[in-house]
Amino acid sequence: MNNPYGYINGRVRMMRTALVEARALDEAASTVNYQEFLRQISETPLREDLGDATAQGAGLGQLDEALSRNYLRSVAHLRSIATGQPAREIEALLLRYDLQNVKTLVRGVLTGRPADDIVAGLIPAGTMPWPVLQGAAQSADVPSLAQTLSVAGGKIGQILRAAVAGGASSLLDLEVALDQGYYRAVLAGVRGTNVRRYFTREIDIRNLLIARQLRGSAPNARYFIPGGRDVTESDFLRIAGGDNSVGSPELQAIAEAADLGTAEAIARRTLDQASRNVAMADALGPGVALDYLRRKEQEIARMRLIGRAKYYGLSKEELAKELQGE
Amino acid sequence: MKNTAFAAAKYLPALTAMTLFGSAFAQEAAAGGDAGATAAGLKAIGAGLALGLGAVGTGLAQGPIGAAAAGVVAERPEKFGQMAIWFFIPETLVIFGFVGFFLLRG
Repeated sequence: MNNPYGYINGRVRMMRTALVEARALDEAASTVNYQEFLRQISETPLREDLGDATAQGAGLGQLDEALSRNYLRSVAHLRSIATGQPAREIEALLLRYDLQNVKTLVRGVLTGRPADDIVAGLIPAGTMPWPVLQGAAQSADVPSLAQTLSVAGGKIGQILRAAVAGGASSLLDLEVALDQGYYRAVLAGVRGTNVRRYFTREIDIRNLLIARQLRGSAPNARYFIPGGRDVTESDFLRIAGGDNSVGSPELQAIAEAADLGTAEAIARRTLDQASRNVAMADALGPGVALDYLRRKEQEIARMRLIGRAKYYGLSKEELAKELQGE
Repeated sequence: MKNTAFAAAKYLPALTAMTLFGSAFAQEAAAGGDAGATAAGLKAIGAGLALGLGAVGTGLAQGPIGAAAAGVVAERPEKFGQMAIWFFIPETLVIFGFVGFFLLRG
């Protein structure tokens, strides 16, 4: 009767109309050079945040800042329109960006990349304050990173701390521990059936991708993420051992993909479809917000990719291939 | 859907009470041998139900539409006119109730 999502989703749907249309993205991708690309995106809803990016002599740094600003503003706006239980559910959806950021930090620190490079790969969304992420990028090693994030890194920071305390040290161990903790937290945070179904699908896909990654080494059940629906632990071990058969035909293509990159691209498309479905089925739940966040993330990622392609003078064919694999 | 059914169920006690009391009054009037009064009483109940249920239906429909419309107008004030049209469409339910009401009272 008194469902707060009626109001929230009305607003989110309107926010969705402010996303850059597919046609405008195609036009941006077909521009002849970087200046033309900037002129093209100045005609999209992104123009409000472009600022210095269109100034004479501005480079990719300014474009990245502008896109990050736009992204951060959208997420902050979404967070501002929900209170109570919906706010908690939207926070749970935003944990996804915390997860991606912590994974980026872990990868960067493990491979010894400079702090500026790590920060450039972070997503300005999620629940962790930006200064905390910037500070964490300065960490010398993973234990000190975990220490920094355990204080101000929210749920994902605590999950990383627990994983490090539990002896996880390799990249795969840490990433899977983060995934396991994240899915536990998110399933505890969202109540809607449709959104939970989306996450169980995401867990299945993640398990498939991990199983494919493990091929060639001894299959180990500790890398399995519980909570999925169609990929059981025994399926996981079987697929990690080299078998390609999956119970769900939708997931078959991921298991059979020629390489991991192709499998990831198929997984992304499958999840895009699942997120669109959840937005349609969950008119009075957090599914609409979930779909909006996913679309916004893709819009920004595509704009960054097209911007780089135009800046470095990539051919249309190369850019199309990059966008396919994006 | 389930929420709407649950919300509608909240009105059931009132409707049941109205029907029972109405029947009781009608029976009382019939016991007094006043058939005209019975017909008038039942007509009054019918008119009340026509208008009341129409209003309840309108309210149930306008609640979520109003919430969504408020959300849309908060983001896009220029959509106010379009949202007002959607918001007023369920008013037809209570208008049909009014028609029934006047037909029965006429």
